Amino acid sequence: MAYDVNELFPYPKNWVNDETHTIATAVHQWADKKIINNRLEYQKAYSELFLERRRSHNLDIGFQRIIFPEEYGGSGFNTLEKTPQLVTILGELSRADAGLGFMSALEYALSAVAAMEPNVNKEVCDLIAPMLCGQELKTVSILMPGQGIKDRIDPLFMGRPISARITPAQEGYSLSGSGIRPIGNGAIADIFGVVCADPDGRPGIAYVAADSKGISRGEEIKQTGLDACLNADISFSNVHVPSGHVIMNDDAVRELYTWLNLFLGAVSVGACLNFFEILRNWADNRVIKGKGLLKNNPLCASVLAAVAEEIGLAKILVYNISNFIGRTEVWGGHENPVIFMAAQMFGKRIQQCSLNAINRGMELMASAGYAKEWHAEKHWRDVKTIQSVLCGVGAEVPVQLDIARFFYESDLD
Amino acid sequence: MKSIDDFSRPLNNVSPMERPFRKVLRRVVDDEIMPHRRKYDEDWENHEYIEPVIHKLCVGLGIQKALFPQEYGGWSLGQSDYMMALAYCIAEEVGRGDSALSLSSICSLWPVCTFLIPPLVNMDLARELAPMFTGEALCIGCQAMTEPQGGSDIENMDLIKGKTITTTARQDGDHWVINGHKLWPTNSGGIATIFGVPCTTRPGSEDPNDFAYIMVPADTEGVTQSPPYAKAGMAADKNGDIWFENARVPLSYRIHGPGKDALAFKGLIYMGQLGSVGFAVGALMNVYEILYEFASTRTFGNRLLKENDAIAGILGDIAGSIDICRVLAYEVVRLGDDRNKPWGNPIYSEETIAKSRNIKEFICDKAVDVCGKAMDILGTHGSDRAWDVEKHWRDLKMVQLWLGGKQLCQMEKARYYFNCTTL
Ligand SMILES: Cc1cc2nc3c(=O)[nH]c(=O)nc-3n(C[C@H](O)[C@H](O)[C@H](O)COP(=O)(O)OP(=O)(O)OC[C@H]3O[C@@H](n4cnc5c(N)ncnc54)[C@H](O)[C@@H]3O)c2cc1C
Repeated sequence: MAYDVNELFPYPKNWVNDETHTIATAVHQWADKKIINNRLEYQKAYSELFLERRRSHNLDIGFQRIIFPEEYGGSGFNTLEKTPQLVTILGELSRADAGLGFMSALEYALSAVAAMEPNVNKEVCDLIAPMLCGQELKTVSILMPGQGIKDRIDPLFMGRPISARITPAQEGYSLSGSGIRPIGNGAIADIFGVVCADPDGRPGIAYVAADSKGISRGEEIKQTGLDACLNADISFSNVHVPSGHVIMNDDAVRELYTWLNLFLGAVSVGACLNFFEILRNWADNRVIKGKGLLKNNPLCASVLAAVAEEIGLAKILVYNISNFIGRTEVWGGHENPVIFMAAQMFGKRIQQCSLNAINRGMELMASAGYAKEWHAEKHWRDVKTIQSVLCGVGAEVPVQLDIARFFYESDLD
Repeated sequence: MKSIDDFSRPLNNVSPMERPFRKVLRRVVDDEIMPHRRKYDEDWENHEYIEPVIHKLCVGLGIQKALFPQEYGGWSLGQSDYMMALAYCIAEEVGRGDSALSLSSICSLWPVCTFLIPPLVNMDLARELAPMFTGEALCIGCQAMTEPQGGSDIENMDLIKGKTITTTARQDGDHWVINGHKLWPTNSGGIATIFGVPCTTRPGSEDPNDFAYIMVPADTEGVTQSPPYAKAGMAADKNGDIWFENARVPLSYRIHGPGKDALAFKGLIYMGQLGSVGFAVGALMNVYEILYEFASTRTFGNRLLKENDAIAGILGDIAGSIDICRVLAYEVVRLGDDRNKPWGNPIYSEETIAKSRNIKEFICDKAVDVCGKAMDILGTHGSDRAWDVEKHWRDLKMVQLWLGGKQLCQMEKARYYFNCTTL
């Protein structure tokens, strides 16, 4: 029976406006037509078609510029109450391909810190908006704090070692750091967002054009999933960064984490929704025990149920984070520490739920789950990649410590 | 400093041959697999790097002849009380380097287990096929069981009793004529030399006497193999379709005959579980090695990861799980190696199959969890193929899913422990 996957999984629809519903429906149909119903062709010529599809939604539909204020040529989705709209769009893109969603998620997260009202940072917008609102496809890469190296003492952001440093230089800063691993897109980025620390150890975010002098990229990294989001380690050797291109406070870093958790959560949920469609198709057709449909076997049905539960929960959690951020009149915006904590805590759960859902669903698909032909395995690899990069290092520990700091005032630094 | 050799195993139950053999295997893995394994993913179709290592293991080290009787050029391992321990040792050691390579090498012998492990021995067939397996040429065996309509049903012998098998064997003079379509078996995808084919002499029958297991050389007229499928991992194992269209083999290629074929096939299920736990534990031991290095060189909060109490908690759980998995894996070994002891059971017994399925399921669930957690500990490096943890994560998911998957394991356990009669 025909069904609409978005209708099946309940979410607070009233948080999404009509305009977004219309856009989302268009993206949904575009995804079906251009990607989902042509999966084999898409898989065979992945790199070329990925680029073509990316161009079509980013430039033709205009998602690349969506988050910028209208005066920069953007679509004006730069108010916090628009957050659920961005989540909806990212979910639809990721249902088609998590890589497409991931690239947009990084762009939106980095841009949001600078472009969202009420804290629009004009100088940063002047740097990145012309690139992202233009007619060329641009890619954003983000370098978060993460892992330090033995015998090196690093400045820390809530325990997380910061590898990039800025020091005051003429009319700005000099940025340095060697072999730092971005969370994605390092090999192909046009803009880097670099979490860095000043000589006092204060964290901030430097916005750097990738063609700036002194930036070098390591070899392309082969990775589990997100095949098109080519990554590479990045080194900065005394890269000049104008002072206006650095947002120098740890609230900005917290905000960046919040956006990443939200947007990458939306990406994983989008991928899961398509995984659900694949699994449902399997369950509707696979016969076991030589007679009944797999979905009518109580044991298999209970696993199918667990998959739906995990996806349903993840979807609700994504919308809830967006609501915390978007309802400034209730929650007060990013200044309220509860927002960062909720994004971290629920963001972690969203990734866990998403991966659990796919892991369990693959059980029921057996070899078909493992074969590239069915595409389930791609969602599995993509979501796992997102989960791991979001951890930074040490699995869920950094986030657990953030949560303990918030709820128990644990002194962990 | 601790190493993988500190994980527990029952030393009183280890063959004297195992120690030197393990050493040789470890050297092959360290020198010839580890340095190249990152190329395997791209080598899934051609096996340019993979095939020479399979050759080395199967021909060079002699794995492919191990089960054949000494008088026919083999090692008579099937007669040994340490057969399962040695098979496990190979699965684990090679699995540490690459579980699919381990799978491919060991599975070569899977079909011949049906007639080389007492009490179900067919010496005539052993003599007939020994030249293939004991020579200098690579001989790749393939246990072609799964069919398009489902693999689990065929393995679910106690309930389905072979009723859903559509591959048929018809007697025509002094030949069997085989017709049918199999898919997914390890060592298919164009590389098999000989197939072991579960089939039926009377489609739709539930009578074990109508179940037949027939050896079919791959160059038999009427046998076609597809190219390999693209998969999420396990590149060293080729899987594809096989079509049998009036493929004729001598009557003597049926392993035993009515009734006994079905028993021997059930024994294969045990052998599959034994290999699976070996691949899984071997890979987990490598995950431990990688984590050890990573956690000893990377920091969080300016302390080594392994010295951070919370991260150490996870590392401790991981090492503890690996240790417990290994102990359990040796219980699967024991179940098989006790087959000739007064207190033991044949490998096709209900008890051995149910208990080995239980342990396989437990270990695989843990293995998938551990690998996933290890990737998260590596964080931005977890999905980096250069660290190899993600490779084990991709590979072990398949070990969890094959052989009828988790649900069949659950059903077998329930049937055995609760005497369920209608599942
Ligand atoms: C790398 C690899 C190697 C392989 N090697 C071999 C090999 O060497 N030889 C070979 O023949 N095959 C091999 N296979 C195939 C594999 O064993 C089968 O895929 C597996 O047995 C499951 O069969 P299926 O894919 O047809 O799924 P199905 O049998 O259709 O099962 C689908 C789902 O239904 C569940 N299910 C089935 N029956 C029941 C039941 N009675 N009650 C409740 N749930 C049930 C299963 O657990 C599973 O979750 C291999 C596959 C891979 C990917």
